[in-house]
Amino acid sequence: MAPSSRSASFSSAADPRDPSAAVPYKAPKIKEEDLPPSWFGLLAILTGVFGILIRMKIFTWISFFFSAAALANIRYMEQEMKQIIPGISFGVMGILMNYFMRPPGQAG
Amino acid sequence: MLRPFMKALRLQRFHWTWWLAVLALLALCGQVFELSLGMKTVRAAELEGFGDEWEEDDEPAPAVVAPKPHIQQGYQASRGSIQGSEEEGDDDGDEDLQVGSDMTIKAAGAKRRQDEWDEDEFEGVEAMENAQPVTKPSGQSKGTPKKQKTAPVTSSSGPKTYYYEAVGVVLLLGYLANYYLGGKRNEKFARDFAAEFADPGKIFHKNFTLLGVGTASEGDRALMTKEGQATFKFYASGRRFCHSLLATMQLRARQDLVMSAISAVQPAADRIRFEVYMNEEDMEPFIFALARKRTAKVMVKNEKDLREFAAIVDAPRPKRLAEELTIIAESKDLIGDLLPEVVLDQALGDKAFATHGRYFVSMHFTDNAPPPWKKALSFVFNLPPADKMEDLTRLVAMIPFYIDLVGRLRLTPQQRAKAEERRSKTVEEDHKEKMRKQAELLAKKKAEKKAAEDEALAGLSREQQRREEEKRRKKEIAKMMPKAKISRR
Repeated sequence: MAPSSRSASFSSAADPRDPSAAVPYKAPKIKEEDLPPSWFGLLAILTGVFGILIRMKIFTWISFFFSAAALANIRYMEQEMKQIIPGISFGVMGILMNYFMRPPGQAG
Repeated sequence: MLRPFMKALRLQRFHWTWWLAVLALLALCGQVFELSLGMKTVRAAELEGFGDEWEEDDEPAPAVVAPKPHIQQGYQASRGSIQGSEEEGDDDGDEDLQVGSDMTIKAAGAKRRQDEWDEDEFEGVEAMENAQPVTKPSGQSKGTPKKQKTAPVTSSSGPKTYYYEAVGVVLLLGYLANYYLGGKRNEKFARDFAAEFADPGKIFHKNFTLLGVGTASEGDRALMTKEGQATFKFYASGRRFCHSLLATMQLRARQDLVMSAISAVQPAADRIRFEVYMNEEDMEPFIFALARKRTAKVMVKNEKDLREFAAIVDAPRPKRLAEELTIIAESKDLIGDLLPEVVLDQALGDKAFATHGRYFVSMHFTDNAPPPWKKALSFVFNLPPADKMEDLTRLVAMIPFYIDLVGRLRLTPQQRAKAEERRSKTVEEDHKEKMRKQAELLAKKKAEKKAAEDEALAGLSREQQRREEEKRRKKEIAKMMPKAKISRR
Protein backbone atom coordinates (compact mmCIF):
# COMPACT_ATOMS: atom_id res chain seq x y z
CA MET A 1 0.00 0.00 0.00
CA ALA A 2 1.21 3.50 -0.74
CA PRO A 3 1.89 5.72 2.25
CA SER A 4 -0.81 8.20 1.26
CA SER A 5 -3.48 5.54 1.14
CA ARG A 6 -2.37 4.19 4.53
CA SER A 7 -2.72 7.60 6.10
CA ALA A 8 -6.27 7.78 4.76
CA SER A 9 -7.47 5.97 7.85
CA PHE A 10 -6.64 9.09 9.85
CA SER A 11 -8.65 11.37 7.63
CA SER A 12 -12.35 12.01 7.86
CA ALA A 13 -14.79 12.23 5.00
CA ALA A 14 -15.93 15.81 5.60
CA ASP A 15 -13.78 18.72 4.49
CA PRO A 16 -12.20 20.14 7.64
CA ARG A 17 -11.13 23.40 5.99
CA ASP A 18 -12.69 26.64 7.13
CA PRO A 19 -11.80 29.66 4.98
CA SER A 20 -13.44 32.05 7.44
CA ALA A 21 -10.96 31.00 10.12
CA ALA A 22 -7.87 31.64 8.01
CA VAL A 23 -5.51 34.12 9.64
CA PRO A 24 -2.37 35.30 7.86
CA TYR A 25 0.98 34.65 9.48
CA LYS A 26 2.26 37.30 11.84
CA ALA A 27 5.92 37.02 12.68
CA PRO A 28 6.61 37.40 16.38
CA LYS A 29 8.76 40.36 17.38
CA ILE A 30 12.13 39.23 18.61
CA LYS A 31 13.75 41.29 21.33
CA GLU A 32 17.50 41.47 21.46
CA GLU A 33 17.60 40.67 25.16
CA ASP A 34 15.60 37.48 24.64
CA LEU A 35 18.17 35.99 22.31
CA PRO A 36 20.82 33.66 23.68
CA PRO A 37 24.34 35.11 23.69
CA SER A 38 26.44 34.46 20.62
CA TRP A 39 29.32 32.48 22.08
CA PHE A 40 31.23 32.48 18.83
CA GLY A 41 30.87 36.27 18.69
CA LEU A 42 32.19 36.57 22.23
CA LEU A 43 35.17 34.31 21.48
CA ALA A 44 35.85 36.38 18.35
CA ILE A 45 36.01 39.55 20.46
CA LEU A 46 38.30 37.97 23.05
CA THR A 47 40.75 36.52 20.56
CA GLY A 48 40.57 39.72 18.46
CA VAL A 49 41.55 41.82 21.48
CA PHE A 50 44.37 39.39 22.24
CA GLY A 51 45.57 39.64 18.66
CA ILE A 52 45.80 43.41 18.98
CA LEU A 53 47.24 43.58 22.48
CA ILE A 54 50.01 41.04 22.15
CA ARG A 55 50.41 41.44 18.40
CA MET A 56 50.15 37.76 17.63
CA LYS A 57 48.73 37.09 14.21
CA ILE A 58 47.41 33.67 15.13
CA PHE A 59 44.87 35.20 17.54
CA THR A 60 43.65 37.54 14.84
CA TRP A 61 43.13 34.63 12.50
CA ILE A 62 41.34 32.64 15.20
CA SER A 63 39.17 35.71 15.77
CA PHE A 64 38.24 35.73 12.09
CA PHE A 65 37.42 32.05 12.31
CA PHE A 66 35.08 32.59 15.24
CA SER A 67 33.51 35.57 13.49
CA ALA A 68 32.84 33.34 10.49
CA ALA A 69 31.27 30.73 12.79
CA ALA A 70 29.08 33.40 14.41
CA LEU A 71 28.01 34.71 11.02
CA ALA A 72 27.23 31.20 9.79
CA ASN A 73 24.96 30.56 12.78
CA ILE A 74 23.09 33.84 12.60
CA ARG A 75 19.31 33.52 12.79
CA TYR A 76 17.88 36.97 13.30
CA MET A 77 20.10 39.25 11.23
CA GLU A 78 19.14 42.61 12.73
CA GLN A 79 19.33 41.60 16.37
CA GLU A 80 22.35 39.31 16.25
CA MET A 81 24.61 41.44 14.07
CA LYS A 82 25.11 43.77 17.04
CA GLN A 83 26.80 40.92 18.89
CA ILE A 84 28.99 39.92 15.97
CA ILE A 85 30.17 43.26 14.58
CA PRO A 86 32.59 43.96 17.48
CA GLY A 87 34.31 40.61 16.88
CA ILE A 88 34.76 41.36 13.18
CA SER A 89 35.98 44.87 13.97
CA PHE A 90 38.64 43.56 16.32
CA GLY A 91 39.68 41.02 13.69
CA VAL A 92 40.05 43.75 11.04
CA MET A 93 41.92 45.96 13.50
CA GLY A 94 44.20 43.03 14.31
CA ILE A 95 44.93 42.56 10.61
CA LEU A 96 45.71 46.26 10.20
CA MET A 97 47.93 46.33 13.28
CA ASN A 98 49.80 43.14 12.47
CA TYR A 99 50.32 43.64 8.76
CA PHE A 100 50.01 47.30 7.89
CA MET A 101 51.62 48.96 10.87
CA ARG A 102 55.19 48.41 11.96
CA PRO A 103 55.77 47.55 15.61
CA PRO A 104 57.15 50.46 17.70
CA GLY A 105 60.70 49.04 17.55
CA GLN A 106 60.69 49.40 13.76
CA ALA A 107 59.03 52.77 13.50
CA GLY A 108 60.94 55.06 11.12
CA MET B 1 4.89 41.15 4.72
CA LEU B 2 7.66 38.76 5.66
CA ARG B 3 8.49 37.83 2.13
CA PRO B 4 10.33 41.02 1.22
CA PHE B 5 12.14 40.79 4.52
CA MET B 6 13.30 37.30 3.70
CA LYS B 7 14.37 38.45 0.30
CA ALA B 8 16.31 41.21 1.90
CA LEU B 9 17.78 38.73 4.35
CA ARG B 10 18.89 36.49 1.56
CA LEU B 11 20.48 39.45 -0.12
CA GLN B 12 22.25 40.35 3.08
CA ARG B 13 23.43 36.79 3.47
CA PHE B 14 25.20 37.04 0.17
CA HIS B 15 26.47 40.40 1.18
CA TRP B 16 28.13 38.95 4.27
CA THR B 17 29.60 35.96 2.54
CA TRP B 18 31.07 38.32 0.01
CA TRP B 19 32.37 40.37 2.86
CA LEU B 20 34.14 37.31 4.24
CA ALA B 21 35.77 36.75 0.89
CA VAL B 22 36.86 40.38 0.83
CA LEU B 23 38.40 39.96 4.27
CA ALA B 24 40.33 36.91 3.14
CA LEU B 25 41.46 38.90 0.12
CA LEU B 26 42.45 41.76 2.39
CA ALA B 27 44.60 39.40 4.41
CA LEU B 28 46.25 38.15 1.24
CA CYS B 29 46.89 41.73 0.16
CA GLY B 30 48.39 42.28 3.59
CA GLN B 31 50.91 39.53 2.99
CA VAL B 32 51.77 40.80 -0.45
CA PHE B 33 52.07 44.30 0.87
CA GLU B 34 54.32 43.18 3.68
CA LEU B 35 56.50 41.24 1.29
CA SER B 36 56.85 44.25 -0.94
CA LEU B 37 57.34 46.45 2.10
CA GLY B 38 60.29 44.32 3.18
CA MET B 39 61.85 44.66 -0.29
CA LYS B 40 61.17 48.34 -0.60
CA THR B 41 62.39 49.36 2.84
CA VAL B 42 65.84 49.95 1.54
CA ARG B 43 64.74 51.89 -1.48
CA ALA B 44 62.58 54.11 0.66
CA ALA B 45 65.47 54.62 3.01
CA GLU B 46 67.68 55.66 0.13
CA LEU B 47 65.40 58.54 -0.60
CA GLU B 48 64.68 59.46 2.97
CA GLY B 49 66.30 62.71 3.95
CA PHE B 50 68.28 63.02 0.74
CA GLY B 51 66.32 62.93 -2.44
CA ASP B 52 63.65 65.38 -1.47
CA GLU B 53 65.97 68.00 -0.21
CA TRP B 54 68.30 67.75 -3.17
CA GLU B 55 65.38 67.97 -5.50
CA GLU B 56 64.37 71.12 -3.76
CA ASP B 57 67.88 72.51 -4.05
CA ASP B 58 68.09 71.44 -7.66
CA GLU B 59 71.36 69.82 -6.93
CA PRO B 60 72.53 66.59 -8.55
CA ALA B 61 72.15 63.48 -6.48
CA PRO B 62 74.98 61.23 -7.69
CA ALA B 63 76.95 61.64 -4.47
CA VAL B 64 74.27 59.78 -2.55
CA VAL B 65 73.04 57.41 -5.21
CA ALA B 66 76.41 55.87 -5.77
CA PRO B 67 78.74 56.60 -2.92
CA LYS B 68 82.03 54.82 -2.87
CA PRO B 69 82.42 52.01 -0.38
CA HIS B 70 85.12 53.70 1.63
CA ILE B 71 83.01 56.82 1.97
CA GLN B 72 80.18 54.82 3.43
CA GLN B 73 82.60 53.18 5.77
CA GLY B 74 83.55 56.62 6.85
CA TYR B 75 79.95 57.50 7.55
CA GLN B 76 79.32 54.26 9.31
CA ALA B 77 82.38 54.44 11.46
CA SER B 78 82.18 58.05 12.34
CA ARG B 79 78.43 58.28 12.81
CA GLY B 80 78.72 59.35 16.40
CA SER B 81 81.77 61.46 15.76
CA ILE B 82 80.06 63.47 13.07
CA GLN B 83 77.57 64.61 15.64
CA GLY B 84 80.42 65.21 17.99
CA SER B 85 82.23 67.17 15.35
CA GLU B 86 79.16 69.25 14.71
CA GLU B 87 79.16 70.23 18.33
CA GLU B 88 82.90 70.73 18.62
CA GLY B 89 83.54 72.14 15.19
CA ASP B 90 85.41 70.88 12.15
CA ASP B 91 88.75 71.02 13.89
CA ASP B 92 88.30 67.56 15.37
CA GLY B 93 91.29 65.34 14.69
CA ASP B 94 89.35 62.23 13.66
CA GLU B 95 90.63 60.92 10.36
CA ASP B 96 87.50 59.13 9.26
CA LEU B 97 85.44 62.14 9.87
CA GLN B 98 87.87 64.05 7.75
CA VAL B 99 87.47 61.63 4.86
CA GLY B 100 83.71 61.43 5.17
CA SER B 101 83.32 65.14 5.56
CA ASP B 102 85.53 65.87 2.61
CA MET B 103 83.54 63.64 0.33
CA THR B 104 80.24 65.01 1.50
CA ILE B 105 81.46 68.52 1.11
CA LYS B 106 82.39 67.73 -2.45
CA ALA B 107 78.95 66.33 -3.08
CA ALA B 108 76.62 68.69 -1.32
CA GLY B 109 78.58 71.56 0.11
CA ALA B 110 80.10 72.00 3.53
CA LYS B 111 77.66 74.60 4.79
CA ARG B 112 74.66 72.51 3.91
CA ARG B 113 76.08 69.51 5.74
CA GLN B 114 76.60 71.45 8.90
CA ASP B 115 73.25 73.19 8.92
CA GLU B 116 70.79 70.67 7.59
CA TRP B 117 71.95 67.16 8.36
CA ASP B 118 70.06 65.69 11.21
CA GLU B 119 69.17 62.26 12.65
CA ASP B 120 66.83 61.32 9.85
CA GLU B 121 69.44 61.94 7.24
CA PHE B 122 71.82 59.62 8.98
CA GLU B 123 69.20 56.92 9.24
CA GLY B 124 68.70 57.15 5.55
CA VAL B 125 72.36 56.79 4.95
CA GLU B 126 72.57 53.80 7.25
CA ALA B 127 69.64 52.06 5.67
CA MET B 128 71.34 52.54 2.35
CA GLU B 129 74.47 51.08 3.80
CA ASN B 130 72.56 48.08 5.06
CA ALA B 131 71.24 47.45 1.64
CA GLN B 132 74.76 47.27 0.21
CA PRO B 133 77.03 44.38 0.99
CA VAL B 134 79.62 46.54 2.75
CA THR B 135 80.09 45.08 6.17
CA LYS B 136 83.68 45.88 6.82
CA PRO B 137 84.05 46.23 10.58
CA SER B 138 85.47 49.44 11.83
CA GLY B 139 87.50 49.48 14.96
CA GLN B 140 87.34 53.23 15.10
CA SER B 141 83.58 53.36 15.59
CA LYS B 142 82.46 55.72 18.30
CA GLY B 143 78.71 55.65 17.72
CA THR B 144 77.78 52.00 18.39
CA PRO B 145 74.61 52.76 20.38
CA LYS B 146 73.13 54.70 17.48
CA LYS B 147 74.16 52.05 15.05
CA GLN B 148 71.97 49.49 16.88
CA LYS B 149 68.93 51.52 15.96
CA THR B 150 69.10 50.31 12.40
CA ALA B 151 69.26 46.61 13.28
CA PRO B 152 65.48 45.89 13.21
CA VAL B 153 65.20 47.34 9.71
CA THR B 154 67.69 44.75 8.51
CA SER B 155 65.81 41.92 10.25
CA SER B 156 62.41 42.99 8.87
CA SER B 157 63.51 42.38 5.35
CA GLY B 158 64.65 38.83 6.17
CA PRO B 159 62.83 35.67 5.09
CA LYS B 160 59.44 35.00 6.72
CA THR B 161 56.98 32.15 6.81
CA TYR B 162 53.24 32.54 6.35
CA TYR B 163 51.79 29.43 7.96
CA TYR B 164 49.04 31.22 9.89
CA GLU B 165 48.01 33.22 6.89
CA ALA B 166 47.93 30.19 4.62
CA VAL B 167 45.96 28.10 7.13
CA GLY B 168 43.69 31.04 7.94
CA VAL B 169 42.83 31.79 4.34
CA VAL B 170 42.29 28.12 3.52
CA LEU B 171 40.03 27.66 6.54
CA LEU B 172 38.02 30.76 5.77
CA LEU B 173 37.59 29.69 2.17
CA GLY B 174 36.63 26.22 3.39
CA TYR B 175 34.14 27.84 5.74
CA LEU B 176 32.68 29.83 2.90
CA ALA B 177 32.32 26.77 0.68
CA ASN B 178 30.77 24.75 3.52
CA TYR B 179 28.40 27.63 4.32
CA TYR B 180 27.11 27.60 0.78
CA LEU B 181 26.90 23.82 0.37
CA GLY B 182 25.52 23.17 3.88
CA GLY B 183 22.89 25.88 3.40
CA LYS B 184 21.83 24.24 0.13
CA ARG B 185 21.53 20.84 1.81
CA ASN B 186 19.32 22.29 4.53
CA GLU B 187 17.19 24.07 1.95
CA LYS B 188 16.63 20.73 0.27
CA PHE B 189 15.09 19.40 3.50
CA ALA B 190 12.65 22.31 3.53
CA ARG B 191 11.77 21.92 -0.14
CA ASP B 192 11.24 18.17 0.17
CA PHE B 193 9.08 18.65 3.26
CA ALA B 194 6.92 21.22 1.49
CA ALA B 195 6.64 19.03 -1.59
CA GLU B 196 5.67 15.97 0.45
CA PHE B 197 3.11 17.54 2.76
CA ALA B 198 1.97 20.94 1.49
CA ASP B 199 1.66 20.54 -2.25
CA PRO B 200 -1.84 20.36 -3.75
CA GLY B 201 -3.53 17.09 -2.80
CA LYS B 202 -1.22 16.46 0.18
CA ILE B 203 -2.08 16.38 3.90
CA PHE B 204 -1.82 20.07 4.78
CA HIS B 205 -3.42 21.18 1.56
CA LYS B 206 -6.44 18.99 2.33
CA ASN B 207 -6.72 20.28 5.87
CA PHE B 208 -5.94 24.01 5.83
CA THR B 209 -7.21 26.90 3.74
CA LEU B 210 -4.14 29.08 4.06
CA LEU B 211 -0.68 27.61 3.62
CA GLY B 212 2.63 29.42 3.98
CA VAL B 213 3.50 32.86 5.21
CA GLY B 214 1.80 34.82 2.42
CA THR B 215 -1.85 35.21 1.57
CA ALA B 216 -3.28 33.62 -1.55
CA SER B 217 -4.71 36.97 -2.70
CA GLU B 218 -1.22 38.42 -2.94
CA GLY B 219 -0.21 35.51 -5.09
CA ASP B 220 2.59 34.77 -2.71
CA ARG B 221 3.27 31.06 -2.66
CA ALA B 222 6.15 30.89 -0.22
CA LEU B 223 5.41 27.80 1.83
CA MET B 224 8.51 27.76 4.01
CA THR B 225 10.08 30.70 5.79
CA LYS B 226 13.78 30.67 6.38
CA GLU B 227 15.34 31.85 9.62
CA GLY B 228 19.06 31.60 9.33
CA GLN B 229 20.56 28.64 7.52
CA ALA B 230 19.23 25.83 9.67
CA THR B 231 15.72 26.89 10.73
CA PHE B 232 12.67 26.80 8.51
CA LYS B 233 9.08 27.56 9.36
CA PHE B 234 5.84 26.43 7.85
CA TYR B 235 2.51 28.06 8.64
CA ALA B 236 -1.03 26.93 8.03
CA SER B 237 -4.41 28.31 9.04
CA GLY B 238 -8.09 28.07 8.21
CA ARG B 239 -9.29 24.83 9.79
CA ARG B 240 -12.01 23.88 12.22
CA PHE B 241 -11.16 23.76 15.96
CA CYS B 242 -7.83 25.55 15.61
CA HIS B 243 -6.48 29.01 14.96
CA SER B 244 -3.30 27.99 13.16
CA LEU B 245 -0.45 25.54 12.90
CA LEU B 246 3.21 26.50 12.99
CA ALA B 247 5.90 23.97 12.14
CA THR B 248 9.51 24.80 13.01
CA MET B 249 12.14 22.73 11.32
CA GLN B 250 15.36 22.82 13.33
CA LEU B 251 18.06 21.24 11.22
CA ARG B 252 21.68 20.49 11.99
CA ALA B 253 23.96 23.46 11.41
CA ARG B 254 25.35 21.99 8.21
CA GLN B 255 26.46 25.44 7.06
CA ASP B 256 28.84 25.75 10.01
CA LEU B 257 32.14 23.90 9.78
CA VAL B 258 32.62 23.78 13.56
CA MET B 259 29.15 22.38 14.23
CA SER B 260 29.54 19.92 11.36
CA ALA B 261 32.75 18.68 12.96
CA ILE B 262 31.02 18.35 16.34
CA SER B 263 28.05 16.51 14.86
CA ALA B 264 30.44 14.10 13.13
CA VAL B 265 31.60 13.04 16.60
CA GLN B 266 28.28 13.40 18.38
CA PRO B 267 25.46 13.05 15.85
CA ALA B 268 22.43 15.25 16.40
CA ALA B 269 19.04 14.76 14.79
CA ASP B 270 17.14 17.07 12.49
CA ARG B 271 13.87 17.87 14.22
CA ILE B 272 10.52 19.31 13.40
CA ARG B 273 8.10 20.72 15.92
CA PHE B 274 4.44 21.31 15.10
CA GLU B 275 2.52 23.71 17.32
CA VAL B 276 -1.25 23.73 16.87
CA TYR B 277 -2.98 26.66 18.56
CA MET B 278 -6.47 25.54 19.50
CA ASN B 279 -9.50 27.78 19.73
CA GLU B 280 -10.34 28.63 23.34
CA GLU B 281 -13.78 27.05 23.16
CA ASP B 282 -12.67 23.93 21.34
CA MET B 283 -10.45 22.33 23.95
CA GLU B 284 -11.39 20.99 27.36
CA PRO B 285 -9.14 21.62 30.36
CA PHE B 286 -6.78 18.65 30.37
CA ILE B 287 -3.10 17.88 30.04
CA PHE B 288 -1.69 14.86 28.31
CA ALA B 289 1.70 13.94 26.89
CA LEU B 290 3.30 10.94 25.26
CA ALA B 291 7.04 10.71 24.73
CA ARG B 292 10.02 8.44 24.50
CA LYS B 293 11.16 7.38 27.98
CA ARG B 294 14.14 9.68 28.33
CA THR B 295 12.37 12.65 26.75
CA ALA B 296 9.39 12.11 29.09
CA LYS B 297 11.61 12.53 32.16
CA VAL B 298 13.09 15.74 30.77
CA MET B 299 9.62 17.04 29.90
CA VAL B 300 8.24 16.43 33.40
CA LYS B 301 11.23 18.27 34.81
CA ASN B 302 11.14 21.24 32.43
CA GLU B 303 7.49 21.82 31.50
CA LYS B 304 5.64 23.73 34.20
CA ASP B 305 2.16 22.40 33.36
CA LEU B 306 3.29 18.77 33.38
CA ARG B 307 5.10 19.31 36.67
CA GLU B 308 2.07 20.90 38.33
CA PHE B 309 -0.86 18.95 36.96
CA ALA B 310 0.36 15.67 35.51
CA ALA B 311 2.50 12.67 36.35
CA ILE B 312 4.05 9.71 34.57
CA VAL B 313 1.41 6.98 34.32
CA ASP B 314 2.51 3.35 34.29
CA ALA B 315 -0.98 1.86 34.49
CA PRO B 316 -3.48 1.73 32.95
CA ARG B 317 -1.67 1.62 29.68
CA PRO B 318 -2.98 0.47 26.30
CA LYS B 319 -1.61 -3.02 25.74
CA ARG B 320 -0.56 -2.34 22.19
CA LEU B 321 1.27 0.90 22.90
CA ALA B 322 4.96 0.70 21.97
CA GLU B 323 7.20 -0.05 24.94
CA GLU B 324 9.52 2.85 24.18
CA LEU B 325 6.77 5.34 24.94
CA THR B 326 5.78 6.81 28.28
CA ILE B 327 2.45 8.42 29.11
CA ILE B 328 2.27 11.60 31.18
CA ALA B 329 -1.32 12.46 32.05
CA GLU B 330 -3.41 14.57 34.35
CA SER B 331 -6.33 12.19 34.35
CA LYS B 332 -6.08 8.45 33.76
CA ASP B 333 -9.64 8.43 32.45
CA LEU B 334 -8.61 10.17 29.25
CA ILE B 335 -5.80 7.82 28.22
CA GLY B 336 -8.11 5.46 26.36
CA ASP B 337 -9.77 8.35 24.52
CA LEU B 338 -6.51 9.98 23.50
CA LEU B 339 -4.79 6.80 22.35
CA PRO B 340 -7.46 5.16 20.16
CA GLU B 341 -6.93 1.98 18.23
CA VAL B 342 -6.39 3.78 14.95
CA VAL B 343 -3.35 5.63 16.35
CA LEU B 344 -1.88 2.41 17.70
CA ASP B 345 -2.56 0.67 14.40
CA GLN B 346 -1.09 3.36 12.23
CA ALA B 347 1.95 4.63 14.11
CA LEU B 348 2.34 4.25 17.86
CA GLY B 349 1.40 0.61 18.44
CA ASP B 350 4.10 -1.99 19.11
CA LYS B 351 3.92 -3.29 15.53
CA ALA B 352 3.75 0.00 13.64
CA PHE B 353 6.18 1.92 15.80
CA ALA B 354 9.38 0.37 14.43
CA THR B 355 8.44 1.16 10.85
CA HIS B 356 6.08 4.12 10.86
CA GLY B 357 6.58 5.67 14.27
CA ARG B 358 10.35 5.53 14.62
CA TYR B 359 10.72 9.27 14.05
CA PHE B 360 8.27 10.09 16.84
CA VAL B 361 9.77 11.98 19.78
CA SER B 362 6.87 13.42 21.75
CA MET B 363 3.42 14.96 21.73
CA HIS B 364 2.00 17.27 24.35
CA PHE B 365 -1.57 18.59 24.71
CA THR B 366 -2.18 21.32 27.22
CA ASP B 367 -4.58 24.04 28.25
CA ASN B 368 -1.80 25.76 30.18
CA ALA B 369 0.60 26.64 27.39
CA PRO B 370 2.83 29.67 27.73
CA PRO B 371 1.20 32.90 26.47
CA PRO B 372 -0.14 34.11 24.11
CA TRP B 373 -1.78 30.71 23.42
CA LYS B 374 -3.25 28.93 26.39
CA LYS B 375 -4.50 25.86 24.57
CA ALA B 376 -2.06 24.13 22.29
CA LEU B 377 -1.04 20.77 20.91
CA SER B 378 2.60 20.18 20.10
CA PHE B 379 4.20 17.33 18.21
CA VAL B 380 7.95 16.74 17.93
CA PHE B 381 9.35 14.36 15.32
CA ASN B 382 12.83 13.60 14.09
CA LEU B 383 13.23 14.19 10.38
CA PRO B 384 14.12 11.37 8.00
CA PRO B 385 16.72 12.00 5.28
CA ALA B 386 15.50 14.62 2.77
CA ASP B 387 14.79 12.07 0.05
CA LYS B 388 12.79 9.79 2.40
CA MET B 389 10.33 12.37 3.66
CA GLU B 390 7.42 9.99 2.98
CA ASP B 391 8.50 7.97 6.06
CA LEU B 392 6.99 10.76 8.13
CA THR B 393 3.59 10.61 6.44
CA ARG B 394 1.69 8.69 9.11
CA LEU B 395 3.06 10.82 11.93
CA VAL B 396 2.14 14.03 10.12
CA ALA B 397 -1.30 12.63 9.33
CA MET B 398 -1.75 12.16 13.08
CA ILE B 399 -1.79 15.97 13.55
CA PRO B 400 -5.13 16.80 11.86
CA PHE B 401 -6.52 13.62 13.36
CA TYR B 402 -5.67 14.84 16.87
CA ILE B 403 -6.98 18.35 16.15
CA ASP B 404 -10.36 16.80 15.45
CA LEU B 405 -10.09 14.34 18.34
CA VAL B 406 -9.24 17.03 20.90
CA GLY B 407 -11.78 19.43 19.37
CA ARG B 408 -14.55 16.87 19.79
CA LEU B 409 -13.46 15.50 23.12
CA ARG B 410 -15.79 16.43 25.95
CA LEU B 411 -15.08 15.79 29.60
CA THR B 412 -17.82 14.53 31.89
CA PRO B 413 -19.08 17.14 34.37
CA GLN B 414 -17.19 15.38 37.17
CA GLN B 415 -13.95 15.34 35.21
CA ARG B 416 -14.33 19.01 34.30
CA ALA B 417 -15.14 19.97 37.90
CA LYS B 418 -12.05 18.12 39.12
CA ALA B 419 -9.86 19.74 36.49
CA GLU B 420 -11.15 23.21 37.25
CA GLU B 421 -10.72 22.64 40.97
CA ARG B 422 -7.08 21.68 40.40
CA ARG B 423 -6.53 24.78 38.29
CA SER B 424 -8.18 27.16 40.71
CA LYS B 425 -6.14 25.61 43.54
CA THR B 426 -2.96 26.14 41.56
CA VAL B 427 -3.95 29.70 40.70
CA GLU B 428 -4.59 30.34 44.39
CA GLU B 429 -1.25 28.83 45.36
CA ASP B 430 0.47 30.88 42.71
CA HIS B 431 -1.21 34.00 44.03
CA LYS B 432 -0.21 33.17 47.63
CA GLU B 433 3.37 32.50 46.54
CA LYS B 434 3.44 35.81 44.73
CA MET B 435 2.11 37.67 47.76
CA ARG B 436 4.61 35.92 50.05
CA LYS B 437 7.46 36.94 47.81
CA GLN B 438 6.23 40.52 47.72
CA ALA B 439 5.94 40.61 51.51
CA GLU B 440 9.45 39.20 51.84
CA LEU B 441 10.78 41.85 49.52
CA LEU B 442 9.01 44.60 51.44
CA ALA B 443 10.30 43.33 54.81
CA LYS B 444 13.80 43.17 53.42
CA LYS B 445 13.58 46.75 52.20
CA LYS B 446 12.23 47.92 55.56
CA ALA B 447 15.04 46.16 57.44
CA GLU B 448 17.61 47.75 55.16
CA LYS B 449 16.10 51.19 55.71
CA LYS B 450 16.08 50.73 59.50
CA ALA B 451 19.68 49.55 59.48
CA ALA B 452 20.69 52.63 57.51
CA GLU B 453 18.84 54.91 59.96
CA ASP B 454 20.44 53.21 62.98
CA GLU B 455 23.82 53.65 61.39
CA ALA B 456 23.11 57.35 60.93
CA LEU B 457 21.99 57.63 64.58
CA ALA B 458 25.17 56.01 65.86
CA GLY B 459 27.18 58.92 64.55
CA LEU B 460 25.19 61.55 66.52
CA SER B 461 25.60 62.79 70.10
CA ARG B 462 23.40 61.45 72.90
CA GLU B 463 21.17 64.55 72.93
CA GLN B 464 20.68 64.41 69.12
CA GLN B 465 19.94 60.70 69.31
CA ARG B 466 17.27 61.37 71.92
CA ARG B 467 15.70 64.03 69.69
CA GLU B 468 15.72 61.79 66.65
CA GLU B 469 14.10 58.95 68.56
CA GLU B 470 11.46 61.34 69.82
CA LYS B 471 10.78 62.43 66.24
CA ARG B 472 10.43 58.86 65.05
CA ARG B 473 8.09 57.97 67.87
CA LYS B 474 5.88 60.94 67.02
CA LYS B 475 5.85 59.93 63.38
CA GLU B 476 4.78 56.41 64.25
CA ILE B 477 2.00 57.67 66.51
CA ALA B 478 0.83 60.01 63.76
CA LYS B 479 0.75 57.07 61.36
CA MET B 480 -1.37 55.01 63.76
CA MET B 481 -3.86 57.83 64.37
CA PRO B 482 -6.92 57.93 62.11
CA LYS B 483 -6.66 60.53 59.43
CA ALA B 484 -8.96 63.45 60.18
CA LYS B 485 -9.27 66.82 58.69
CA ILE B 486 -9.32 69.67 61.18
CA SER B 487 -10.91 72.78 59.92
CA ARG B 488 -10.92 76.09 61.73
CA ARG B 489 -13.37 78.85 61.36
